Amino acid sequence: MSIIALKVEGLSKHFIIKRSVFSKKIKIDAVKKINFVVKQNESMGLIGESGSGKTTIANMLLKLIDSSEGSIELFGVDITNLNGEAMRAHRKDIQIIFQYTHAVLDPKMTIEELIKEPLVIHQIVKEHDLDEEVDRLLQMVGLSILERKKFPSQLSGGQNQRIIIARAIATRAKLIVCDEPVSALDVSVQGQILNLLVKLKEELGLTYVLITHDLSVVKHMCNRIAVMYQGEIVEIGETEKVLSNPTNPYTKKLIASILD
Amino acid sequence: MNNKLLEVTDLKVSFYHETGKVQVVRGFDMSLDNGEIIGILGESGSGKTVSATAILKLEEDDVSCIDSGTVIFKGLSLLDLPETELRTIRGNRISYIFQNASSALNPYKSIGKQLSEVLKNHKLRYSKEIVLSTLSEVGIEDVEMVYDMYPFQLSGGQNQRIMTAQCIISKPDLLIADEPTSSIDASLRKIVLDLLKEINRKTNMSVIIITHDFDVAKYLCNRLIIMYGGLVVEEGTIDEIFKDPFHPYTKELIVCASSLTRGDDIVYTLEGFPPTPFEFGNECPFANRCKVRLPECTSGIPRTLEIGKRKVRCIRFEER
Ligand SMILES: Nc1ncnc2c1ncn2[C@@H]1O[C@H](COP(=O)(O)OP(=O)(O)OP(=O)(O)O)[C@@H](O)[C@H]1O
Ligand SMILES: Nc1ncnc2c1ncn2[C@@H]1O[C@H](COP(=O)(O)OP(=O)(O)O)[C@@H](O)[C@H]1O
Ligand SMILES: [Mg+2]
Ligand SMILES: [Mg+2]
Repeated sequence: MSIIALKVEGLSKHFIIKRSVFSKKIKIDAVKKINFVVKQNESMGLIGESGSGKTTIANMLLKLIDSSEGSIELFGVDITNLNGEAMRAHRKDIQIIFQYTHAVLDPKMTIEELIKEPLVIHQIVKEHDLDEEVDRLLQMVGLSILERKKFPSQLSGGQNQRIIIARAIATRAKLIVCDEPVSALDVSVQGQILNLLVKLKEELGLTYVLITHDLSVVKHMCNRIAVMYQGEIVEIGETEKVLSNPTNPYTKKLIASILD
Repeated sequence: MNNKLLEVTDLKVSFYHETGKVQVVRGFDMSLDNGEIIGILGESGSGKTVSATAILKLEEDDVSCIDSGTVIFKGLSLLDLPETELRTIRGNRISYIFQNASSALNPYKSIGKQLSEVLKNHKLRYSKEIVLSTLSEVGIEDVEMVYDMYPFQLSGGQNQRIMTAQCIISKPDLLIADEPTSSIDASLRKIVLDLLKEINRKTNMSVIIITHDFDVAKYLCNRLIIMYGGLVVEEGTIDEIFKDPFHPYTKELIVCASSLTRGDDIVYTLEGFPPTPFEFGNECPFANRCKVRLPECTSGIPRTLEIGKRKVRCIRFEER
């Protein structure tokens, strides 16, 4: 029997914006009553048009923003309304990997400090084991332990993306949300990072929710995909079936938009 | 008739670090005609963004330093112009779409205000209509609402397209677009690229596009520049480079891309990492990963060889 890693039910998020002091408030329905389930050790792809609510979902899963309605269950625990101390125990179970830019990693911290940070915050290992743990994580993501004392600006984009991944797995996260993990990297590095993500998934039994707009990435990584359009999941199912036989007009358009 | 719009020669750029100055771009040359679209491809960290921003002196003086080189734009030597004059060119005759649009836009000003300011600051014809229609050209829906919104209220892909709108609204002679479609899905990507093509056709705007997406390069560009380790390692037309790549790095890149699109179980990758500027030596930067390396590859940086109209920086092409 497979374990359910993530269960999202009726999840919505609306934002209220006010155009000016005089005008009415406007409600933006960024995410509208979505449902989906991700099994343990599965990768679910989340694709969809720009502004359709993918990052907003990620932010709600990570509890970086509150949801407006609905529920989020992480390994059987309803985390929707957990806050503060109660959430602390679960926060390390779910991590996010952002698209790499110079802004994601603090340029003033060394690689060693960057990897120690989550280990210390979540008290993952004892103080005197920290150094060994940093080495172990560096090796897991395919980096040399000689990089420890360097700064992010001294590493390549692909190497920095590996540091971001090391920080995510440092907390022994079970579920990792990846928001465009390779879109800032050139093709030769993209392959390295995708292979690394697949390897870590097998080795650590990880579950992924992978947000991307690149269909070849989805095909490579995900057994299931959900297609989003204007805040709703308009199509969900096995990747191959959805991509070879799309039923929704937006999915059809997406697949047809090949450049030639 | 001189049809040259931009000529960049022997550009070298360094950054200041705690440990001193480190050169990250060691040789960037480019020539661009009016109406031409050129693509820059290459490993992340190879110096694409730094080279392109140096053209407009966009980095602060205390952060980086242009060690050498000339940039001639319509007969003007940009690197010698005073800042006040450069400002009349930036965002007006030459626009720059930044790679990280969400942080490049001003967080404190509404989208409408930011776009209007481009027109007002450069004393171009302004009306709200122009701003709204430019927003809708880049595929923004509900433009009236977005006009009053702020960057933090918009998604990554929306901000990226707003940045594009901000850059084309002044009808520049040259658009430098740094990964302009990296955060948007395929259908919007086509809309944005088609728009750039159309402006190029109608107004003869030249484009320098930095991308790692081969499909984008093929769809848009006439010519390509390939960078590695702070150097331009190859230059040629799209057809030449895809049908018959010269540089071993370019060859590897093409194999990697086709493995990913083909859907191989394990994506073919190039082993190892590129040298970072701290590790640059007096050798071919690709030597340690090159499958056809010769002993001479590690003695000296290969010079640029011209083969017909193509260029390549690899000693295998030296006449013997
Ligand atoms: N803080 C906010 N205030 C108001 N509206 C917001 C806010 N954050 C997001 N939105 C709106 O929510 C919608 C969904 O945004 P989201 O960032 O989730 O899109 P996305 O699917 O990640 O898009 P992309 O692929 O472009 O990154 C957008 O219409 C956006 O304008
Ligand atoms: N603000 C900065 N401070 C220090 N080093 C930088 C800065 N920006 C870029 N670099 C370095 O310059 C090199 C080239 O970077 P960049 O031009 O951004 O590469 P890309 O080809 O991916 O666009 C990299 O080694 C990078 O680490
Ligand atoms: Mg997003
Ligand atoms: Mg760049």
